Amino acid sequence: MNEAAGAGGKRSLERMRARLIVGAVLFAFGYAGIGVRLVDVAVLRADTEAAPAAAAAFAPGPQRADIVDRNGLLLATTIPARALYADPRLIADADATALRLAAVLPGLDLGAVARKLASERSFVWIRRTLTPREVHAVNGLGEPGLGFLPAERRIYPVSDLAAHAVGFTDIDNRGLAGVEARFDERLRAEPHAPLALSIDLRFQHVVHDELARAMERFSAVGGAAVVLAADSAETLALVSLPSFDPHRAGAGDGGARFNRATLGIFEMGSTFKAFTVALGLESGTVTLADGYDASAPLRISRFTIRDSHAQNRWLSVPEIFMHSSNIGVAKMALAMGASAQREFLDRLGLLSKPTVELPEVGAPLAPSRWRDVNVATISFGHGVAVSPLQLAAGIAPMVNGGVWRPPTVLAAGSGGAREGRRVVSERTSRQMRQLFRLVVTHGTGKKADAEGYRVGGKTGTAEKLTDGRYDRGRLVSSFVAAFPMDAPRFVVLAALDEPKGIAETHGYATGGWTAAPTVGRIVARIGPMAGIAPQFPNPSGPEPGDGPGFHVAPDGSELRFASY
Amino acid sequence: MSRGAAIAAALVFAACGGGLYHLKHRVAVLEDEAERLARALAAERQAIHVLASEWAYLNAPARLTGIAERHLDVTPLDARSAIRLEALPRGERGEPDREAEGER
Repeated sequence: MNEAAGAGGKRSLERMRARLIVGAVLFAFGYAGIGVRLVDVAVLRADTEAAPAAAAAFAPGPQRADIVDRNGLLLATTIPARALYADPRLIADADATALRLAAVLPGLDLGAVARKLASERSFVWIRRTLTPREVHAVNGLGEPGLGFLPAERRIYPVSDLAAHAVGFTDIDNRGLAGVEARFDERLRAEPHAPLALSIDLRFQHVVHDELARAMERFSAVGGAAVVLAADSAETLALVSLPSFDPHRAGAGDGGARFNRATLGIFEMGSTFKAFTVALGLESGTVTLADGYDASAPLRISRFTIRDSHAQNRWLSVPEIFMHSSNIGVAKMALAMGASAQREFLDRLGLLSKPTVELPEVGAPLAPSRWRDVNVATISFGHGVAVSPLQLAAGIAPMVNGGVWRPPTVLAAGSGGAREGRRVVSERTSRQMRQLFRLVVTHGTGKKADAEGYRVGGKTGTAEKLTDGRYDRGRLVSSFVAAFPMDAPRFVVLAALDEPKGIAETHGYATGGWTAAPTVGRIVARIGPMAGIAPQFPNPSGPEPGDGPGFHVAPDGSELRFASY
Repeated sequence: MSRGAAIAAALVFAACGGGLYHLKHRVAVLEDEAERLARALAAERQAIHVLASEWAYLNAPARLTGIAERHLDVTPLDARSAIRLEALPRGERGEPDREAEGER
């Protein structure tokens, strides 16, 4: 019995030992695994950086991306602020607290705040964005019912300078106008990548400054001005006056928020003659040596077309352009016909809504049926209404070698030139450059001649419609120019809404007297910024840098000046 | 033999424990340091951001123009003031006239 018991004990001991070994081996594997992992983490990957998530966790950063100009200067940014709220249940005396708050927060609506503080709710906003100084002052009140929450405030460092292009946001920093509204989702989705506009802040300032000066000088009700890169159609300056402060966009009258440069559409007047003449040259209907008889007003059904700078004689094509003869271009347009004119304007993007990246874009107005009288009036810019930006984009191919590109407010990425469409030939564009220059050297645009910068352009003066009749006293005076004319880099347009004549202009308020000098001053100031070397005419020969035959004489013989 | 092994095991155990504690402590210290740095970094970034907006405000062209008009005698560049380098008068050996430069 003992034997059996001894044998049984030995067997159970052996079984225990076997189990122990199995257990020990399992543990050994476990520890070995942990050891291997330790060596792996502590020794083998010692140099690997920990994920840099930590920094972001403490500062999520602004929730809305900055907007910058083409050189990276800030146009809109978001800074941290504090929002002031109140718990009315903890406020003992609503009226007294409101009074004390109003003393430290200027512009606070006393009655509204008192009503809020007297309400039964447990949370009311007092003001959504406070400066550090205001936070300090409110803390100084020692009122237990007031508290702060972190908030963000959208600020526009250049204030009203680019207000119409940049736009503004509401109290919750959602875009309401301009680029802020158009790219609202983009700005919130990628808050750390600034959105670069094509605007050049320096140009914007010059254009804003000069246009404001002209507006004041001629007591105009408004103004619009645009600078486009002649080749890429990038908008370097986009000004609409009067302007507004985007921090207080809701205040003031709504008229200031109206973007005259893109949303406003105007019959632009004689600047359209450039398109008529370009089509004439392009289609071969006329050459520079041809001309039309402008000695008598032109009658079409019950309408009579007269010249405002009447020469009362036969005029060559260059003379028609430089003296801005309505009769001449009307006859030219009638010779080409309605469908050719309509198709050409359409190719220049003047008959469809531009694709520029702003919510405030006006669709052009054009007649539904183009009869002869429409053809005649459209040839000198009445009957089709377009926005100033659209007109400038249409002028660009006249001078840049013939390629039209849709205007844009975004800086071109590294993707290279955007696709354009050829609207006129190199040859026509060259002739148009000569004609534009002629207008400034000998024609209606003499006051735009910024010395040294070879400006060329075309004046435009259109009467505004009042109760269905054209009103001689209410004009839209404009000047569209390009420079330097031997190889244009910029298209500049300035338009004044209802300028009044002054003694210095002998009472005239036309484009040549009001908008042309404005463009001249803009060119004189942005020329040096753009690094364009000024050149002065050699009294005994053609302007330096111009190839032979650059000049065109009023009688159409191209080589007359260049043969010296 | 088995006693020696037991002592060795105990020593290894103690060493492991001590090492582990040390490691853990260092990790905790470094984590605190990382958090402190991250906070400082965030605060610094925010300060830079605010300063950048202030810089942009102070450099607004309209403001600079006003200040320049009030305090400086300079005027916008006139086209006649610009000249090509080649057009400048040169010294005898075709080098820029250093004397004239020095007289300025």
